[in-house]
Order: sequence, then C-alpha cells, then structure tokens
Amino acid sequence: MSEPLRPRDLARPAEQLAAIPDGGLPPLPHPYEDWPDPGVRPLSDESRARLEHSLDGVVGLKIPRPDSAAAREAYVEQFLAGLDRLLDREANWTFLQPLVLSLENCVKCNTCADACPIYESSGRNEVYRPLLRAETLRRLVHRRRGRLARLFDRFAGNDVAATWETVVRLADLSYRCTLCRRCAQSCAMGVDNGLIAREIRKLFSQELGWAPDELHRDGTVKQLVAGSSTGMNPAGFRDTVEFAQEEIAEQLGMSIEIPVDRQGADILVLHNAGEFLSWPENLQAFAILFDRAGLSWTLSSEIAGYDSVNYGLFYDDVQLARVGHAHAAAARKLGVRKVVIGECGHAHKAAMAVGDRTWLGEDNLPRESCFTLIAQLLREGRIELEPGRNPFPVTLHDPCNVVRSMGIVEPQREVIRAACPRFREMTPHGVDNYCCGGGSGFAVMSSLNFPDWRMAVAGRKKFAQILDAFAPEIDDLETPKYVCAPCSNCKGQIRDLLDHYQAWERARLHYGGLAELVVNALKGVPEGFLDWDEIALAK
Amino acid sequence: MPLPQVLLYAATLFFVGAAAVRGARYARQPAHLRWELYPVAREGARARHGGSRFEEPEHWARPRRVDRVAEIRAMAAEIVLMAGVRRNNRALWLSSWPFHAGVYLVVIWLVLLLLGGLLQAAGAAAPRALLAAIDVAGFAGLGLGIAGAAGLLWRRVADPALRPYNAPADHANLVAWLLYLGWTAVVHVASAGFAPLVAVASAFVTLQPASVAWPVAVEVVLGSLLLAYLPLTRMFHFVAKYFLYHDVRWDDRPNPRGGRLERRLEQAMDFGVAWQAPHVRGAGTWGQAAADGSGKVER
Repeated sequence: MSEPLRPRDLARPAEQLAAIPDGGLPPLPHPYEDWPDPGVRPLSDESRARLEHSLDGVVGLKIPRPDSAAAREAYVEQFLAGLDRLLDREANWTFLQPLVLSLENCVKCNTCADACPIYESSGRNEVYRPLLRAETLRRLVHRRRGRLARLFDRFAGNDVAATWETVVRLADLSYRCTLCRRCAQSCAMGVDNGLIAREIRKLFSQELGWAPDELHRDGTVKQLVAGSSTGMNPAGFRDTVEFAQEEIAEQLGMSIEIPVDRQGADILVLHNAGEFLSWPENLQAFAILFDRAGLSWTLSSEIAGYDSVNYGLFYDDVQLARVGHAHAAAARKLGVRKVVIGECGHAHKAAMAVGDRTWLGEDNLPRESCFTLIAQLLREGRIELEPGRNPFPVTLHDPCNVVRSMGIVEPQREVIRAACPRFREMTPHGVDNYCCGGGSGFAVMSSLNFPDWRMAVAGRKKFAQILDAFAPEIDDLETPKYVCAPCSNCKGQIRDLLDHYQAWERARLHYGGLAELVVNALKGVPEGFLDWDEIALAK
Repeated sequence: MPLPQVLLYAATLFFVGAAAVRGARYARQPAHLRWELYPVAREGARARHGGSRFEEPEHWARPRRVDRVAEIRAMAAEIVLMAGVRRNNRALWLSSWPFHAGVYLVVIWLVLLLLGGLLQAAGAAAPRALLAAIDVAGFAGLGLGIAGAAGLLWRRVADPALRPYNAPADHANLVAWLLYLGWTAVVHVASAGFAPLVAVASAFVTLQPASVAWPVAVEVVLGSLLLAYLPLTRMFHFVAKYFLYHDVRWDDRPNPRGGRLERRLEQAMDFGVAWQAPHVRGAGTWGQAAADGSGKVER
C-alpha cells in the first residue's frame, strides 16, 4: 500500500502526486510468473512541458498547461460554476437525484475499494481508491454551501481547496475509473462512485469543454457529422457492406444479401461501426445468422444509423441525447417495428436502459438485445447448432453495461452453452464480473502513455481472470482458446491485452464475438467460419 | 415543565420535521435517467442470477411482473441483517450489525415504553410481560449498541485506510451514541430496570410534567440532544437509503409511450441547458439540444 493520500492533497502543488512504481503491481497467474512488467512509460520532456500530468504521470485527457496564473484562475472559476450547475435541478435533471443521494450518504466505510479492479490491480495505490475521487467532489460541493454551513467545515472535514491543482487532478482522476459500477454494487448504502466519476466527467465536458478527443471530437462529434465515430461516411458504409457480402461468398460459398435501408423491415440492427473495420466477421456472422433464421431485417445508412456507438454515455448528457435522437430518427425513417442492438455493451445501455428515458414520444421504438433475439431463435428452433464444430475451450467475458447495468445475463449463456461444449465461466462472472479495463471509453483512448496504464493497471484483473479460466489447458499450445467478448469496446480492450501480454504465443489465447461462435456451429452453413489457420497466421 | 422534558419535545419535533423535509427533498427531485444496478430484488426468481425484463424477447409487449414479496424479503434482509455489508465487508459487519441491531432494539424499547406510558396514563398498570419486554429490548439494545459503536469507533481510529477520510464529525457521531447509550446503561443497571421511565413516558404522552431523579434527567437530555443531532449528520441515512434503492438502484420502471413517467420526462426536456462549454452553449432546451444534433467541433 502506498502512502496515505487525503482528498486535500489534490490541492498540493507538486510535479506529480502519485506514480506506478516499477514492480509494484500484483503478480499475474501462470504462465506469467516471469513476465517483465514494462509498467507505464514516462512521458517525454516535451509532453511533460505541454500537458497536465500532475496526478499520476499518465495523460488521458490531454489538458494543456495554462501559461498564466490568470488562466488557471479562470479555469477554477469555470469549474466552480459547473459545480453549481451539477446541483441545479434544470441543468442536471438527468442525474440529480442519484448524484445528491450519493454525495450526501456515503459513510466512508471503504468497502468500495475492495470491489474496484483498478485499485486492486494498481497494487492498492491510494490515488485510485474510489473514495478519494468521490470524497474530493463531496468536500468541494460542501464548501459551496451557505455561510452557516461553512462554520462547520473543519468539524465536517470539508478541507479541499478549489485550486488549479485540485481541478485538473480531479478531471484526470475521473478518467481512472471505468464506470464499471462494481463499487456501487458492493455498497450496502447504494452510493455509486461510478456515477460520481461520470458526473465529474460531465461537469468538465459540459462546462469547460474538457473531454478526451477520442470520445468527443473524434467520437460523438464525428458521429453526428460524418455518421460514425470511425469516420466512416454513408458511402464508406455501403462499400463495407458489399465487401462483407463478397467475403461471405468467397469464404463459405454462400450468397447472402445484407439489406441496407430496406423500408418497412421488421428489425433495424444497430452495430458498433468499429466492428465493420476491425472485426468484419461479426457483421458477416449476424448477416448469415439472420438470413438462416429468415428474419426481416435491415441496416441503415443514415447518419449515426449504422453506428450504435454513443460515447455520450461516458461523459456528456447532451451528446448522449443527441446521438440517441439520431439513432431513433434512423429507425423511424425506415419504419421498422423494433431496433436490435448488436454486440456492443454501452450501446445496449445507451439505447435501452438510459435511453428508455431519452427516446421519448415517436422516438420511443421497441428496442431489444441481440443476445435475447439469438437465444429466442435457438429456443424456437429457427436455427440449429452442431456444437462439435466448436471443440475448443471457450470462456465468456461479461460486458458491465449489459450485465450489471441492464440485467441481461442468461440469454448469452444459453447460446454459448448450446454452441460450445467446452464452455467455462470466469470467476466471478455475471453481475459480479470484472470490467475488461477498457470500459467507459478507455478502449479507444490511445494517446501518449494512457494505453500503458490501460494494459498494466486497468486490464490486469481481467487478464488474470482469463488465464485462470483456461488454467487446465493453459500450457497446451496445440489447443487454441477463445475468449468470447460480445461487446466492441471490450473486444478492443481484450485484443490489446492479448497482444500486449503476447498471449497467443504464450497460451494460444484468441478472442472474438458471440455471433461468430454461433455461425461456426450453425447447421446449414459450411464449416470453417472460424478459420484457426488464418487466425494463427495473422498473429 | 422541567427543562429536560421541554428539550425532549423540541428534539422530537425537530427530528420528525427534519426527516420529513429530507425525505421530501429527495422525493421531489426531477425524474432522472435510468441508472439501475442488478440484481434488482423485485425481479423475483430472475434476481438470483441478476436478470431483468430485458432478458425476455419482445419485453415491451409482455406484462411487467413485479415480485413485491421478493422485494420485501430483500429489504428485510438488508434492514435486519445488513446483508450487503455482511456479504461485502464482513469485518465491518461485526461492528456495524451489532450497532444497528442495538439501535433497532432501542427504538423498540422506546415504543414499548410509550405503550407502557399510555397504559399508565389510562389508569392501567403495565402488564408484567410488557415490563419484561422493555427490560429485554432495553438491555439488549444498549449492550449491542455500545459494543457496535465502540467497534465502529475503534475501526475509524485504528484502520489506516479509513483514517485519511475521517473528519472530527465521524468520531463525534459515534461518541454521541456511546455517551447516550453508555449513560443510559449505567443508570438502569444501577436501578435494575426501566420502571422509572414508564412514568416519564406517561408524562411525555400526556404533556404532564415528569419528576425524575437527576441521572434520568441527564439521560433524557442526552437522548434529546442525540435525537436533534441525528438529522444534521450522515447517520440519517436510513431516510436516504429508501430512495437510493427504490428510486435509483432498483428503479427499472419502463417508460411506455403516453405514460406518467413520459410526461415528467417531457417536462424535463423543456428545462434550459445552462451549461457553457462550446458544444452546448446556447443550445436552448434539452429537447432542442437533443434534436439539433449539431455537435459543434469547437474546443
């Protein structure tokens, strides 16, 4: 455990408040006893001079260092104005009640710390203790109260000064939490430190315009302007679909039409467009699956209609509402009966749970999870599987947004049990799962040394879980092992983890989605959708 | 009327008023976006694996089943056994459960005392069973409460992980309980029971002045001060916990078209977006901001 750090220490002038010490991280399971943990690379002198890094030497937000005391003071004033808006019933109606309840009722028992994979995987580094972040905001909020309450500041421990250092470190600290809400689940009071981290992000985004470029400028903004956070425009999307059809024909000899903008189709499928570029086999698998099941479905080429991503969920309520509205508009235009969300965890939550209260009036179309739909197809005998075609060991990663935040736990298991005879659970799993470490946008935040931190700290627990799940066969390099990650962001993070830890070379670990496993075992489809020779060649 | 008795009335009124104000403040917040956390107890059998209605095909077309029995059972386990703390932090539970159980028993003890007082005021003697129940609840509550509060205070002082987050108020809260419970225990162990308090309760409910020995008067003063202090502290979380669970953690109410919830949300969509970042400044109402989709690229 590192030195005690108090909330008021965030105001302390120091080049860097905390660091990940070399060799200070918890060991990984077999076969990683000898893994030379590279840790987190120090920033270059140029980056240190240009960007704020005084929390832990990691840069995720890329806040330029202000060049004058006046500029720093102006930011502090903006922050304080944002703090007031965070507690305003009109400016922050979206989450005011949960926020106020969480701010006022923490008993500071620290149970949340033991539930937090980042705190644990950092070697219990005090800077990542969930309570530090929440308590800092809490004390800042309390210092905004009336003069009478301020008389009791010392007694109540409201000792955090609103300085430039506090503000900038709090901003960075809100991006050291994946919003997995495991801490909230462990809190008997019901206090939600994940929500508090998100509210801090929101304050910075909506008041100061501070948000990671990958989520805002290259995320929601690009999605609303170009059509997708990948930058793919509608024409590019149509090319991608054509390519997918050709691939299916070439690989399996099947002629499958992927419908686009089919007016009056029963279902609009919303995929994360990241799949189209990084894992086109997922789009192909869904197309084959829905074709075999005889569903009436379509994709949309409208702006945002072919990208289920809604990064607003991670940092900004206005952007969340804008992207949600664009999704709904695409569905309305096609006149579909329901929208089915593909394998993307945060898109599920943004459209179905949180979105249940932003898709209002005519936007309020029925929305369903692809996991539920596939399980239904299986149950009704509309698709049949030959599980022997998936003879390799398989484990399932639970995307936090799908399980803990939405309660969709069993349908994907029903499918995977039917498709994979050597399926085994991770420990713990379901609503008690650990985040992949790429949650809340981390999977796409790839600048400077943030990915080092994401690999070494944020994803460490998940990687250890994966190794443990395959422990019986982990040394068998003849047997490939499949980590099913039915969520684009989780899949991206697990891809990066397996690459970083050279997991194919050391343990033959591979990853992919759920639909791919289903199609690989689907009766009536030629064998070889999952081509292990090709996978091995690509490694 | 003796000053301690006046203080007790004032503290009781303040406590009830503060509870009502706090509850109303939480209840009157605007409708918020869904932010539930599974398992949700009212999902019934599905809650065993943390499942929700979203697991059902075409869930919107099916009647919503709410298992109130499961919900009450989960609430009872949480309130009586502190199941969440027991599951997630056993070391804390070893102090926290005795403390809370002690407080519950003290509340029961006070209710029984009031009952005895009412009977006495009506001219009937309190039955022996009631007096025995008062003794059991009182001594058990005081004992458990003292042990629990002392344990919690010890954790706050000794646990290096808790220390950086402690404020003087966190210690004072537990010391206040220890003072009241400890003094009350000493007084009534010395007097071998709670019989004098039945007379106090009778005077309290009939608004008649009570004549008590000074140790009992001190007990009443300490109890009154604690009662008035509670609403000013985090220890008042029993009010908040209802809302934290029912309005947030377990709030899986769907929002069907044309429903009451939708009307509340539509009202909220008419609120102004007051935030000042370049991409939201001047966006109008929330409804207008959602529909404009402009997503300016300024930073």
